[in-house]
Order: sequence, then C-alpha cells, then structure tokens
Amino acid sequence: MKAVLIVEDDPDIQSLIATIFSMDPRFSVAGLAETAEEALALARKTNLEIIVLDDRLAGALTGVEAVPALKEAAPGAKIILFTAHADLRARAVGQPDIDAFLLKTDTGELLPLAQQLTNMLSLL
Amino acid sequence: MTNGDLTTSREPAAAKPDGDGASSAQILVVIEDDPDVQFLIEAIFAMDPRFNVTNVAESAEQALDLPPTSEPGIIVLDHGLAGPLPGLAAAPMLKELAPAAKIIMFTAHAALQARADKEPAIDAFLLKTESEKLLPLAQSLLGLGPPTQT
Repeated sequence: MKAVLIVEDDPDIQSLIATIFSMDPRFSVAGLAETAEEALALARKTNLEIIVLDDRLAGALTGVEAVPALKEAAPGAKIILFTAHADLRARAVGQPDIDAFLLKTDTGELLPLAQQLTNMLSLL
Repeated sequence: MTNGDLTTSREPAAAKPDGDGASSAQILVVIEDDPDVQFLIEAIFAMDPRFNVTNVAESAEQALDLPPTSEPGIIVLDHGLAGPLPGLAAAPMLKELAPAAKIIMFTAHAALQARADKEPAIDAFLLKTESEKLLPLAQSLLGLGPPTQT
C-alpha cells in the first residue's frame, strides 16, 4: 500500500481528496493534517509515498514554506503542491523538493498524477 | 463559460454500456458554490463512466434556470450557496424541474439533517466529511451496482 498524507485546512476538501485516493486500493490515506506543523509530525513517523499539500494552511507555515522540512522528514515521499493559486506555479517549479504542481481546477488529474509519481501506471 | 451564462455546461460524454445493461449515462448536476469542492465532486463521479456531469451551478437560482428534464440522474445539492436561495429551500423546485432525478443534500452542516429528512424532495442527506459514501450512495439511489471493471 502506498501511504498518502493529505495536508489541507478545509475538512470538506480533505475528505473529498481522501475519497479520490480510496478509488485506488493500492493507496491508503495514512493521515490528514490541517497545518504544516501537524504534517511534519506525521511525516516523521509514517513511511509516506505521496504528500498532497495545499499552500494556505491553518498554521503559521504555508505549504510552500514547509516543503523542505517535509522532504527532510519524508525523503521518499513525492510532494504534490495542490492549490487553487495558479500564480504559485513559478515558485513551485523553482523548488526542487516539489515533485508536481496541480491546480484544484484540475482535480481529475490528481489520482493519475499520484499513480505516475509512484510508478503505478504500468500496473493498471 | 461565456459571459452571461448562468451555469457551467459540461460537454456530454459518450454514453457507454455498463454492467447493468443500461446504455445511457446518468445525468449529474452539481450545485455547489465552492469551485474546489465542485471539481472534487466531479472527479469522484468521473470514476464511474455511467455518470455524466451535465451542469454545475454555484447557486440554486442558476440551477433552476436549467431546462426541465424527465431523465433520471443525480443532483448533488449544497445548502449554503452563492445566491439568496439555500439548497434546502430550492429542493422542491429542483424536484419539479427534474422529477426523476434523485437529490442528495451534500453539506457540511450536520444540524440540517432533521430538516432534510422532513423534506420529501430530498432523497438522501450526506455530510461532506463522509464524501467516501457519495458515489456509492448515488449508485444505490439509481439502482446501479458498482461499475464493471474493464
């Protein structure tokens, strides 16, 4: 099972993202965090493969600010910056610890992207 | 969406036969004011090719401007919407517009359940924190089983 961490401050969006990952039984949602600080704590104790990361979060740190620490806590995890803000794309491209950038308007691509990042597409 | 359009129309997907013998896609209308939630609901229903998102509206007023239909389908209805008419109040009018459609009230507000249960136009009530039940619930309301794996 590929463990997924969802970092998102809106509980409704958290639940909907978790539902999308539940459509592929090879993924398991290992944790939900509404702040980067909670995410870091979960990342340190879970063997994560995917982190779905919003930028605007409930705590002091933004998602983009937390990326280096998240990558250090979970070096094997692929980080998908999943945001409504298209203007963050340039910053995400310049941040090597972010493995993929996806707008929330392109939600239909989230699961295939996670499958691709974890080399699962060939198994479909 | 062109300027002045009241709802976002989705291009109809090609109807595909399914494991239950039905040959046409079930219409799906999403009435939700948060675009992020709209897209996530669409992504969930996209997992079952028997559903075809035909319209998305951010207010009940926009949805009520849609043409009447006798086709079966699902209306996913939030309560707090962009316009003055809340989802619960709009449900009877939506049912009149699409009498064969099943209306799922999909809301973050658990306190609405008692009122929704008393509203005959609402076929099911689901909290947004239980979104994993959304697609199975819609399939069940329309008498569809799980999609056949291909």
